[in-house]
Amino acid sequence: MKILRQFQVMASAFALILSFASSAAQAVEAPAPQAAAEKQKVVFQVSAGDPKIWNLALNNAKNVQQELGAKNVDVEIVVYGPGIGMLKFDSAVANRIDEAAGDGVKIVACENTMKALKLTRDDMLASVAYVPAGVVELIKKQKEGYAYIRP
Amino acid sequence: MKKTLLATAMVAAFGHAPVSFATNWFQLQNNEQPGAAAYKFWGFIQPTYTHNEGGIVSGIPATVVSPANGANVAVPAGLQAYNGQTALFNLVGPDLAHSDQLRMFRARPGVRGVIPGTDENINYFALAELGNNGLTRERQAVLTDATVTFNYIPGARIRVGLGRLPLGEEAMLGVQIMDYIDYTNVTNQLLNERFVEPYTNASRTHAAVVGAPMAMSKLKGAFGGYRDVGVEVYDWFNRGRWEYAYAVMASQANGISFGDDLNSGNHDVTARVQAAYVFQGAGPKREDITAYAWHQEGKRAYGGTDYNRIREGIGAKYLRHGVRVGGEYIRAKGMIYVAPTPQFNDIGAPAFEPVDYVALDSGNKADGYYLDVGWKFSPQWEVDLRYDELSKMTNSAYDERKASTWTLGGQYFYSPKLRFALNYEIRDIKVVNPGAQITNGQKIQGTAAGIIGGSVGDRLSAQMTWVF
Repeated sequence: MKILRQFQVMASAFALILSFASSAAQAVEAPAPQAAAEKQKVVFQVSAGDPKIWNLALNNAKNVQQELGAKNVDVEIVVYGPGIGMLKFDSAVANRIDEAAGDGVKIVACENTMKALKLTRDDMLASVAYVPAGVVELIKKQKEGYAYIRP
Repeated sequence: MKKTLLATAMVAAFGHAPVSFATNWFQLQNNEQPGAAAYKFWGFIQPTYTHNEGGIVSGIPATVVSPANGANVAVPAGLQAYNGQTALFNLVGPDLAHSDQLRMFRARPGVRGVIPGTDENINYFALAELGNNGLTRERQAVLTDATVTFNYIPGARIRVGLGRLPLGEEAMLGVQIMDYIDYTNVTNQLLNERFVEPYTNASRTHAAVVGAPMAMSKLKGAFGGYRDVGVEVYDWFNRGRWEYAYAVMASQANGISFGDDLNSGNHDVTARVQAAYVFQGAGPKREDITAYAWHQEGKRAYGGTDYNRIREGIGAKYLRHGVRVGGEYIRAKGMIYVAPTPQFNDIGAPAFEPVDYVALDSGNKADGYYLDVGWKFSPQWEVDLRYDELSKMTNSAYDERKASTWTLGGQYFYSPKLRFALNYEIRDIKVVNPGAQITNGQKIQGTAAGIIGGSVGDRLSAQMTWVF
């Protein structure tokens, strides 16, 4: 019984040593914890009614994801004002919106704009999220450290 | 109060913002997007390779058994001469010289835009054809579209000039985004009009064709190309996700020819109505479910007499999440282009040069349909499957012929402006009612027709589409 207890103590100690060794190895091989925490963040503003701008914003978002890796960057597109047509069900870029949302891009519509234009959520693409005010969302995101891009 | 003012200001500010650009063919081909430039050059080319697997004709016998008395009846040497020949439907048109050929099928440069100073209320569209097809069978280059659209009257836009007729879906769609390389037989042969005049070559005396009365004719001018010169009134109306559209066109009935002399002043009236429930998107690949019906009526001058010509159809299509399902039924009365007869290039006596046989009277009928499914299973790849059937001369048991085709297709979308398509067509042509061959003449010609039709082969086509 005593031998068994000694064996348990030794096993625990060995496991502890292995644990430290493993942690030390991870500390050497893994990226610095600080770097992992520094996930890139970018917010795009779309407030123009020109489908060329819509396509440009979607291209930018896709390029950012490809360059940095989709898991390493949070991308959000804030749409308001005359740009709201980008997110309507009959948008010329509807399929690209679905594709971007599927790739992890957050695309939000300004509800203030929708109210002004008497648009309901039924009028919008299914993959769209909503914020009360597009401009306020841009302010919030910049305070949170998002890079701001207006294509 | 502030909120109301803000909302009012926003609505006012967006007054000049583009409306959403949900699209139907009328809108896509006749109108410009808000903010469009005064001119935009564009176009596309479609180099195409076609290979016919059809073999040569064999087995036209020296005699047939008389349906009247069971005796052997001699088959004329002129018919037997086609043993060893290749039928026209196994050759690549419009040249009809080779069974396989690489050609510039379509090459269409164009320009479109809004006329400056009209507050975007007047726009125009022009497109030329430089490719090798039925439109350019007489001239190397032709105009296929030249229209001006006036958008002043709510509910009644007016398009003037040479443009698309509001016909069936396949006839209306832009060929640069067509999912198959060739049209169905039913659309091509009933709606892509062949303009004809009486055959007058006295140096070649053709044997009479038995059966329903048909006129020996020759093609004149270009194929109609689903277009005509005229005035079209049209518009569309959106109610939430529902869209309703109509078009009525009065036209010269001359196809892409601007002159009114081909048809002695006769005119066509063509109308189409459609309703669509839009799931999402815009443009030619909008995700929706659409139902439509159309009707065309007019007269054709032929040999000093006017004949009624009627075409009509009904159909539906569905596109959602990359899955496409569609179908259309089309029927025709009068001015039925039956076929070139004989179905061979002129091989010299005792055979004859082909003559275009046309069933003129409105008692002559034809009908057909197509069913189509497609699946775009990735952004780059799509597979397609289509079945189409065309029955001509359904009013006469002896004359009735049926052509049916299965088309297997695949498309690779290299980029939004560059696409490759591959089609394999399994084709069949049948004499529908052999039992209706009750005279010696019918037995002889019907037997030969069955053998010649049976020589139709499968067809492989490959095409690149580059939109610039």
